[in-house]
Amino acid sequence: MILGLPIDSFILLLGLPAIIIAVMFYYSSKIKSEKEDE
Amino acid sequence: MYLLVVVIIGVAASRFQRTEEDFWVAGRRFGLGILVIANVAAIMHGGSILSGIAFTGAFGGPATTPFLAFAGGIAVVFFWIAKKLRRSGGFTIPDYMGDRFDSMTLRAWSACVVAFSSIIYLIAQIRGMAFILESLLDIPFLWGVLLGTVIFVFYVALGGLLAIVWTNIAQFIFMWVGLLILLPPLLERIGGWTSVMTSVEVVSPGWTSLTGTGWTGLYMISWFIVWFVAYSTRIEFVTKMYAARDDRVARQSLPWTALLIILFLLYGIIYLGAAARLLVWDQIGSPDQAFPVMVQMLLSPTMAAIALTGIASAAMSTTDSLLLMSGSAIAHDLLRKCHDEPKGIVRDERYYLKVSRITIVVIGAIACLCALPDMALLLQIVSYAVAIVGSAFFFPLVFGLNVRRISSEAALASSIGGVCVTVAWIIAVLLGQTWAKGLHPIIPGLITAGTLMLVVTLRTSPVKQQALDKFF
Repeated sequence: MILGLPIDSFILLLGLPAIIIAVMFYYSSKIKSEKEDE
Repeated sequence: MYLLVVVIIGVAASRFQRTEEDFWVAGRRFGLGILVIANVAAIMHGGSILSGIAFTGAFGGPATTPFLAFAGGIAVVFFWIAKKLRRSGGFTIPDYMGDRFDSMTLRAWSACVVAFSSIIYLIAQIRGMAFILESLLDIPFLWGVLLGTVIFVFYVALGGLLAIVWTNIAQFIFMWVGLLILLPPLLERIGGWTSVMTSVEVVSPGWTSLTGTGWTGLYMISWFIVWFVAYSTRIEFVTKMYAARDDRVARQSLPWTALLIILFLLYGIIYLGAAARLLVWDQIGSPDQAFPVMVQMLLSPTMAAIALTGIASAAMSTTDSLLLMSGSAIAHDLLRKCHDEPKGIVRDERYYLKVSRITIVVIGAIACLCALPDMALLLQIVSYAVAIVGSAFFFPLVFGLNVRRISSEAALASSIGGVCVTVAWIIAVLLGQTWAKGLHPIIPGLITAGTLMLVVTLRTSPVKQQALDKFF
């Protein structure tokens, strides 16, 4: 159990969405630097 | 006071409306912060709190809130839709369909789908808002419907997207304040997140599991697909990309939007849904009463009014966006782009602004009348509207923006085929056909739309290069 949730619920509810959002933030920061390079 | 604030904002915003671009996409001036708030407010509808707490309370937290689908859908917009859509410089989804596939038929069809599905969605939102106004102001449901509709029609018709976004900022603050004032009494009574999740699992076995208290694995998967498609094609959200200052701002707003929505729902639906299950479940006749009863149990009358105003804000913030969508589909897409411009009729911007406002008033009146009869759970109505939009636009948007080869015939076949199958399935469900109930209507709709897009693309020629230049 993590935060009162079974492991699989925790992964689907919080773990995977957090990874997807982190990937978007990563690419979002790259868009910024590409613009600055120009 | 809240209602007065939004009316004043509508009047103030009307001073900035001179052209269609000002009215429909607020002059494309939105920076990152404003766009994030506009995105979140457009997605967080009244049903997402009111019906959301009822839904999670009844069926379980992780099962009913598919955050993975929300994040995945927004990621599709981030990686494959936002940049090209913003660069294309249109106002609406029918603009995209008409320009990308060089087809007036597709533009007109898309405008009809947007207008129809927005009105269905609007009906659900008006009912949600009326329920809140009923408990907040202690007035009959009928007056709740009329009062709510008159106010948001007034500020949308006057101020367009600018009024919507200004009111969205006010609504965003009301929404958070309204929900957060419940936190101190809840922490005192039932404790924090872990304590609540542990207790609710004891009271209602399966509540924290992936399939909830009574869902099958298959139903859960189809629920995830519905919301994945919904978040990548929700017109009131995707259209906001047009209002960004540039394509960079449009894309950067998306991870913040996903993060804020998930944080909001973690507390606003899962924690509060579990709290409702623990505190008030034995005292309510229907799950929809869970939130108002809990508010009245935990807060003083003044604080309860603030909390309920927060939920009314959430309802209004989606309703206004939907009204603008359906208005733009008729005034901009059907009248201007499909009728006037092809016939060489030239009219000034003031004429279209006036028609846009009249259209919004008429649509508001129609939705208001349709909201009066009693009907099923709000979220079910919303999910049907989402299914129609998803089956019409998911493949033409995602593949049309990324694969040159997709032809106009393929997009038309995919969109019409998907909508027809989805609507037929919805009718079968409403008629009580048992074979239809096991599968959400969006699944057969999407399978049809995807198959038709593939088959027809292989048998037809791509759109001419001149039309593609805007997108590739």
